Order: sequence, then C-alpha cells, then structure tokens
Amino acid sequence: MVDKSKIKVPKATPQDLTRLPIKMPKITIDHNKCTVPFWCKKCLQACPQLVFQCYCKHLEKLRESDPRQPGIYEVIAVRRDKCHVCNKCVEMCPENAITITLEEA
Amino acid sequence: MCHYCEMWGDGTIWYLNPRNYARHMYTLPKEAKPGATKAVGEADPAGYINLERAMVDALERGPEEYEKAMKFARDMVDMTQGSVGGWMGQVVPLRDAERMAEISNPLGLIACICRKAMLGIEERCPENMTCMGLGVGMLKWERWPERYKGGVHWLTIEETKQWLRDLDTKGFVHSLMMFGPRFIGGICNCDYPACDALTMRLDHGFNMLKGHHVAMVDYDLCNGCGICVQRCQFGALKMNVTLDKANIDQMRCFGCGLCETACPRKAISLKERIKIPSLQEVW
Ligand code: SF4
Ligand code: SF4
Ligand code: SF4
Ligand code: SF4
Repeated sequence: MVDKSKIKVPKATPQDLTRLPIKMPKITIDHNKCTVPFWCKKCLQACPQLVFQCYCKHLEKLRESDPRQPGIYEVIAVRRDKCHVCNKCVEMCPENAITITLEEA
Repeated sequence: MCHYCEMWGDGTIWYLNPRNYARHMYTLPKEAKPGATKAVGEADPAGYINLERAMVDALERGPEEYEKAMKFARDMVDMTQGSVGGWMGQVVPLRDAERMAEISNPLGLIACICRKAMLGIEERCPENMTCMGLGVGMLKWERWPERYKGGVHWLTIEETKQWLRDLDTKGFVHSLMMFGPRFIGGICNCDYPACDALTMRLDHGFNMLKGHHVAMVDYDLCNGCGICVQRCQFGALKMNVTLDKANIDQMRCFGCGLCETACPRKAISLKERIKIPSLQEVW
C-alpha cells in the first residue's frame, strides 16, 4: 500500500506568488453559436498561444461520437493568462462566437 | 531518490522495477475501491481541462486563491489516483524509455489526446499516433471507441524502440504516465505547450516529476554548432555567446536527453541526478 506520509510533493511552484494576481482578458465563447467546435476548430488552429481547448463532453462506453453532431464537443478558453489579445481567434471564427474583453486599467 | 523510487523502487529506479507493470498492480486498486483505476480511454479529458482552467482562473484572483486551487488539484489527484486531472508521471530519456518497452507487455501505439484538445488534430491523423500504451490496461481499448478513434497499432519490442527513436529524432520529450497508484500505463511523446502534462508542470509545478538525469556539456568536445539548443523544451539550454559553447541551466534541466541524442559531437552526457549534491532534492 502507498504510505501517504512518505509522499514529498516538489515544493517549488513556477508561479511567483508575490506577482499575483495577474491580469488577463476575459474570453467568452457563445456555445449557442459555436455548436460543432471539433468540426470547425478554426480558433484552435489560429491561436499562437494555444489558449483554447476542445473536448468531448460525454465520454460513453462502447460509443463513438460524431464531431459533426451539435453539442457533442465544447471549446473553452483555458490558458487566458497567455493571451496576447492579437484578436486572430475573433477574426477567424466563422460564427462570431468569441468575445474578448479587457478590464479597464 | 525521487519519492516514487522511495515508495515503489524496491532498490532500483522505480520505472525499471517490473512489479510496477504487473497486471496485479492494475487490478488491485480497482478491487479495493471500484473505479479507482481507469483505463487510458476512460480518463476523462474534461477533468484535466477543468482543472487547468481552475488554476488559471485562480491566478487572476490572487495568491491565497491560487494556493487553494493547487491544494484542491492535488487532493483530486490523490482521490482519483490520477485519473482525473494532472496525471502522475516522470520525464524519461530515450534509453530508459527503450528499457521500459522491454519490461512491459503488450505494447501499442495510440493517438495523443492532448494534441487533439489543444490543436484539434484528429485521432485518425497518422502524425498524431505518438502515445505508447503499455500493459494490460491497453486490452480494454475496444470499450472506449471515442478515445481510440485512431485504433491501436500493436507493436513488437523492436518496433516500439524504433518508434521511440524516430519520435526522439523529431524532438518529442518522452515521459511516462501512471494509471492508478503504481501502475505504469504509457509513454507519452510530446512537447510544450501541446502536452497538458508538461504544461501543468512547467506553468503550475504540478505533478510530473523531472527525470533521473541531468545533462552536462563537455567544453572540450562542444564546437558551438547550436543544434542542441533548439531541442530543449524546458528552456534549460542556450548558447554561451562569449565562449561559443552550449550552456545548460541545471536547475531547469528535466533530464529528457533530447540534447544528448542530437549532439553530433557527443559533447553532452547525462549525469545521475542523485550524484549531484545541489540537485538531489530537485524533482
Ligand atoms: S486574441 Fe490571440 S492570443 Fe488571445 S486567444 Fe485569441 S488568438 Fe489566442
Ligand atoms: S472558431 Fe468559433 S465556431 Fe469555430 S470552434 Fe472556435 S469558437 Fe467555435
Ligand atoms: S549540439 Fe553539441 S557541439 Fe553543438 S552546441 Fe550543442 S553541445 Fe555543442
Ligand atoms: S538541457 Fe537537455 S536534457 Fe536538459 S531539459 Fe534541455 S534538452 Fe532535456
């Protein structure tokens, strides 16, 4: 059995906690407009910072999903801290589903 | 020693200990706690993604919130034995990956789930078949067709080694993955930032351990060609312009060995981490 008391977790975290909080843009994706993201995936390919991630919402045993069917996959903006606000994703999105908002400085 | 070696090494490097590949290790936690161990296909990608999103969101809210999110993430891994969020693993150099292929059975090549999520690369795309599945967990693959749309290419030991060498030549970092508390279920071949495991480690210090080696440059042999510099995914290698030699930041080095396999003059060697006083506790 695993002896939990023995587990040493590496201490150093690369994020400098004194630097927090860090500012980042809000990126929202309208899932009513973006219904087949894994079939479109334009934002995934356009973003130089790999901000977006796309995943199958319902993993089911013995069943393969069809990415062309609406609502099976979902795309979300995960690594917002890396966004350059280059707006490439907004320009590329055929459904105008992406909105990027910056907080006032 | 890294803490996995302390717990599961039985006196050797833990991932070279055949016990950690045994069928017994795969089924044991499942009997004790139903659902504890998940097959490669069962591990839910939404879990990883939401965990990473929670960490990034916490960065925006300040240090206390960030530490809270970190604790939550670690507890989650503990509870679900690594099948939801930030999996457990360690970077391995090519030579150790080849030795792992000799220990485990069966061996199969499957599609990378991270590149699917980050870049939208389809499973059926042959360039995306870079994930090595090891051991009995792979035999469950047909139950999870969604994860294995690209199928499984079963490989012999020699074929596996050849694949690993080819992927190494391309510049992919090898790292092992665990499914369940001590069952080694795969060798991932990927790069930063497409690989979620490497990204979680480099950006948030989360779970993936550094390898058992650290790279060192021999200045007598290095001619400053710079080939090695483009291989490092960890920002540890750069050119020392004054001397016109490669220079390695040993605190950043993960011991992936990609610089070693690329150097045409064999100027880079891998040293054992535990023999370097300042790095013994750096994982
Ligand atoms: S604005 Fe640019 S960097 Fe930011 S998410 Fe869109 S494509 Fe990526
Ligand atoms: S580009 Fe727009 S429609 Fe296409 S996947 Fe991204 S958000 Fe959805
Ligand atoms: S590849 Fe080898 S010879 Fe070239 S700079 Fe790197 S260490 Fe020196
Ligand atoms: S210096 Fe070499 S061994 Fe170390 S992380 Fe970079 S490429 Fe890998």
